[in-house]
Amino acid sequence: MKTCYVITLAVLERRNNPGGGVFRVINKYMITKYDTLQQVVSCLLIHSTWIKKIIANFDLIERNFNLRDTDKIALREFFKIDHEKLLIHAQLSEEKRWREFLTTSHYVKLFFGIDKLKRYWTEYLTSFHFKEGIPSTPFNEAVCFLEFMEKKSNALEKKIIEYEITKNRLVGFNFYHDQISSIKRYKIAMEDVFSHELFLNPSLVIKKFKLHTLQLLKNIDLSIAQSLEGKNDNNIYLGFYKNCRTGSIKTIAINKHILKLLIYMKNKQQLYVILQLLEDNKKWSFQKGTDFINYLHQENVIFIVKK
Amino acid sequence: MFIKPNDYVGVGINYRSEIVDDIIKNMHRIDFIEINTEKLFYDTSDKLQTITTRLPIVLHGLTLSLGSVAETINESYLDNLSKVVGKENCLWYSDHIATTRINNVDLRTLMPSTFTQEVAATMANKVKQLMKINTKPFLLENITYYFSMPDSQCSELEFIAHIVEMADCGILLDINNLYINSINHQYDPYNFIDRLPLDRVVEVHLAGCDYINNVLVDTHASRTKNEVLHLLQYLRKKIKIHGVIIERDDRLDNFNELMDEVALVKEIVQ
Repeated sequence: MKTCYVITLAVLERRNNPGGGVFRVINKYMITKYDTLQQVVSCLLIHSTWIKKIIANFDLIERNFNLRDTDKIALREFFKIDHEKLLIHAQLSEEKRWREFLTTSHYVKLFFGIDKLKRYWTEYLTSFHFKEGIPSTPFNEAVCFLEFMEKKSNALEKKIIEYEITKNRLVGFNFYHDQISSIKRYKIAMEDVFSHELFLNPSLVIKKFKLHTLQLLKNIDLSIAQSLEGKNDNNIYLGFYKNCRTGSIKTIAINKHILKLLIYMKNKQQLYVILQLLEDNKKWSFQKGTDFINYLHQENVIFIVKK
Repeated sequence: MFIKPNDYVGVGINYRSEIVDDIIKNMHRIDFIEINTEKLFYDTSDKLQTITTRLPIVLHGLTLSLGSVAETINESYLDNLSKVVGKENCLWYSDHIATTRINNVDLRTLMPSTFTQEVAATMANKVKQLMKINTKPFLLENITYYFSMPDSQCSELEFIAHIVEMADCGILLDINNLYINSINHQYDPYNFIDRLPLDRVVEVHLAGCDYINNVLVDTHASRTKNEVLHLLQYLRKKIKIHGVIIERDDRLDNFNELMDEVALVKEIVQ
């Protein structure tokens, strides 16, 4: 079924003009755009809540879609016979999305617990409008759902959610194969100094967290009771990035040395310039400078590339 | 005229990042590997590169949405597809007889197509467009469907036969999907095989299915059922199968069980 444009009315208007009456078509075409059965079923298939509503009241179809009469009859017939099968498919699909979400957000899963999360998830699913699309990937969906949860959360919960949102946002980051193929695979040596340059991992995002939030994340991993007694209010800057060699999302604490290097680099810089800056400003030897750069390269925070 | 690949490739599994280390350790036990087409567009990980350079690969897409009547195939998708299909050890590529995208919304599920001549023609035209750009064989896969689209005017079998004839492409017969549909829609799967244009079947998919609320569901989370293996044996007596992929997307903790299944299927197919 194709979307159909039907000219329903062309108005011929008699104009009164001094030279006598003429007819001309005035620009008042009324165009009706019909929805197709495929469009309607696809909207239902991603929202089981709406299937249930339509089962209870088929008129909702008419309120939300403009179907041709023949399609309306076909859809009504389909609902009489197959509404349960459609509902099963939609629910299976939502269940799959739920399972996918659980794989995306480790800390949120452990911190909130499955039962509480599932309640939020059910609320989240019912918050969609009939014609609203769903996020295109599990990671996009994780971001959407976490943002939905964030609105209902306290300050500490918000921080854990923010951590997960940042990680999930990065999953969709795509490196270009050409970019990756030129990255040096081994450590730098003296002879590389003038022939190489440094690139900042383009996926790197830096966020500020309270130290106690990170301690809490560690505790969650170790299954330690989530006490906030004696919480440390100091801030820490955390770098989130995608490792181009493994595809995994990593974090690194941005200490003053790394921060300085990132400032020196400004996304891209000659290797010899950086080593010189480290020597001049920090009094680091060539060895210490290259060890530091090799470490960050190894961690995939920066890329060493041949010029 | 559709020309089948010459060689028997063997039995393999689908790539999952959760089991990448197991795959690399067991490459000698796997004849070829199926990789999600879209994953290969952007995944730059070393381990995936290792696999794709050391094993024959077949690409299996999820987002072509051939059944979307009003939508064309995205140009950037076609560019990316050409790059990955062009890889030397890529044997063929495939996608589903389904709709996965409507009005720029990803459905994240395989919506059945409306079984009509018009939709079959649309799908066939899209397949022809792909085949013009890429010289490797293209296969269409039958899906599990829990409901039939309103306004369908022919059977699934007639629909598939019609598309592959018009598009002149191959078939990836998912025997697990066939078995599930035969149970849920109550028809004879052996009769389905008898009437399918078998000269176009190149690859077979196997997987596990499980009952959820009295409906047989394509879960990809368990061993292939014996009934499905019997159907494979039946098919094997009728035609030469070029490759079988055992799909497992969930409960991947027991890799050895998966390898045992690969060995068992090899005995059936060879």
